[in-house]
Amino acid sequence: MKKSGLTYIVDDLSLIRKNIIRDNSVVIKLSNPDDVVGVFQRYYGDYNIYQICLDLGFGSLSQIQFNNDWENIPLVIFAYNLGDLNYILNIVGLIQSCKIRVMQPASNKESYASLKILSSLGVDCGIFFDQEQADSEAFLDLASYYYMSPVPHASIEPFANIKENIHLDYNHSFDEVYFVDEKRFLYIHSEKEFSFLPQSKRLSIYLSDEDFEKEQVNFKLENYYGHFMELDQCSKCKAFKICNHKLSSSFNCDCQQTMAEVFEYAEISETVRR
Amino acid sequence: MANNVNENDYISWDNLIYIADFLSASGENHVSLLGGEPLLHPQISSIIKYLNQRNLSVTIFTSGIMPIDRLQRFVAELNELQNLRVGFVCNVNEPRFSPKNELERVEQFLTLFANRTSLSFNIYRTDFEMTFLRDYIVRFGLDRHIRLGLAHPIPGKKNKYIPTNEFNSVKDKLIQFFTENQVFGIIPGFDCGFPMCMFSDEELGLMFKLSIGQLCFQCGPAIDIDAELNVWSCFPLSDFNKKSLFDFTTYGELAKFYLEKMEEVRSERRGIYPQCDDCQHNKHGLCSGGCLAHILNGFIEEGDFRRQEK
Repeated sequence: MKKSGLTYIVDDLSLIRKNIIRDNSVVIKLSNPDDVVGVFQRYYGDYNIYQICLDLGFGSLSQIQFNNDWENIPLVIFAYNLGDLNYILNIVGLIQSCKIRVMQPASNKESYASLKILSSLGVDCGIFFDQEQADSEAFLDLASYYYMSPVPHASIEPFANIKENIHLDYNHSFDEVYFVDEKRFLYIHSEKEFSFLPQSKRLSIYLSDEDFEKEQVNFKLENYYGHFMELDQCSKCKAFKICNHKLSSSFNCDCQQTMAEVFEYAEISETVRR
Repeated sequence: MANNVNENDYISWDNLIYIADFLSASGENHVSLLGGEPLLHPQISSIIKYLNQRNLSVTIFTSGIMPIDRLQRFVAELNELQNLRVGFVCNVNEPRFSPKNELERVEQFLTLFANRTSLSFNIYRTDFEMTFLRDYIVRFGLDRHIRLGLAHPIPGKKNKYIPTNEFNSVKDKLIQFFTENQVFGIIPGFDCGFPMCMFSDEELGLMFKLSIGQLCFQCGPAIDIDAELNVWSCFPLSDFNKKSLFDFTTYGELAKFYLEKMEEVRSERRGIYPQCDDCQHNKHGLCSGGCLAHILNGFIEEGDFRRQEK
């Protein structure tokens, strides 16, 4: 299987072995904050750790007892909310010095103000989409804050990724922010199986190079070209270049209008920057 | 930045961040939080810490009156961080007009925040008495600066204030108090709206010394922003050309707008006294001729036509 340049995503530490990971970079998924420092120290050096992904589920950022050991760990934290804001503000200097991105769910109304707080304090952050629909107005307000605010602030994903790639002359979704991009990430489920998405069809890790490429193309056909074959709404959306169907059912109102506005903000912002 | 004790009227984080961005983009490094009572905001310590993180030092104008459990929590939360850049201006009332439990609350506040607090006293009646201010300063070890505010009319509304023809009796008491308490190192600080000619030349010299040269007789914008991001020139002029913060891009632009609006009024009447029109000190900018609210109030008595969206 062709895998050079790919990043492997594992949530089972027993799979972090040289015969599986080889020279590829790795994202390690964890759910317990107490494990982060130990896991990083155990694998750092032997493996190229792209990021540690800490998923707190419905937990709060403030439940983490940050200390200086967290400083060099490339970390993305998925948390439901900030929790005790007073505590976060007490340790924000430490968080700023870490390589941390804090992600919060779009379906939680609190997230939008929390992300503005973090971004304005210099902490990289982002919004992620879960099963519930997000408030389109709040999402656009956050986008306008990221693209139009007159003072420097830390990045907010996916807006930063959209802005970074908007000049490309081909479609580019912000998939990589969420570790879903068949050209970059593989989810490793066992010594024998992988998939392009956490829940998508499992494939054999022993695929030949040719078969692997076929599967990549099939995946792209289903998730990208399919819209043009069926001429669905996404195929006519002017924001398809940045969205690629990813948020087609994520909002409480017209996703095309919402993402078209984001596209416009990003274009204006990038034009001003240049 | 104004707040209210009504839960629904608390400033939102969105608006607070907007204000912090606006001030940062304008190169400002200080913000004052006013009331209602800012210390009753359930997230006041987080707000202070956030603003400090945004490189804005904070002054809180407070009555010092808050429930003891909130006060204790507030102290504990502030003590979690060292080097917070926050100070309090505690606006106190004469004890003879204050209920006992209110006085106890104020004293608790002054005890806990002595090293961060200076006093403020608003003069809204001529039979005022200030000895208690010295007692507070000495007893609690407070900052030895007293901010003195003259209550001014709020144009179009009924409120208690000192009429211009009674400024002299106010002046006599001020001079007497600060002369007597010079030995304690207590320094007066005049808020805006005092006209220079309420003092004789000799008294001016004395007050110059007592206030360590910080005499100021100008009246200009001291911008207020409320929880909904409405802005106005200063408290007495809260109905005078109220705008939205979104109408401006920098604090300088905002202040200039209100300065020009104030100048438009002063182009018709230079100050609160008829003699202000020919006053050399007014022309040279040494004195603004008292608070603009008195002038606008006079216009209202003449009829509405002058005030229409100046």
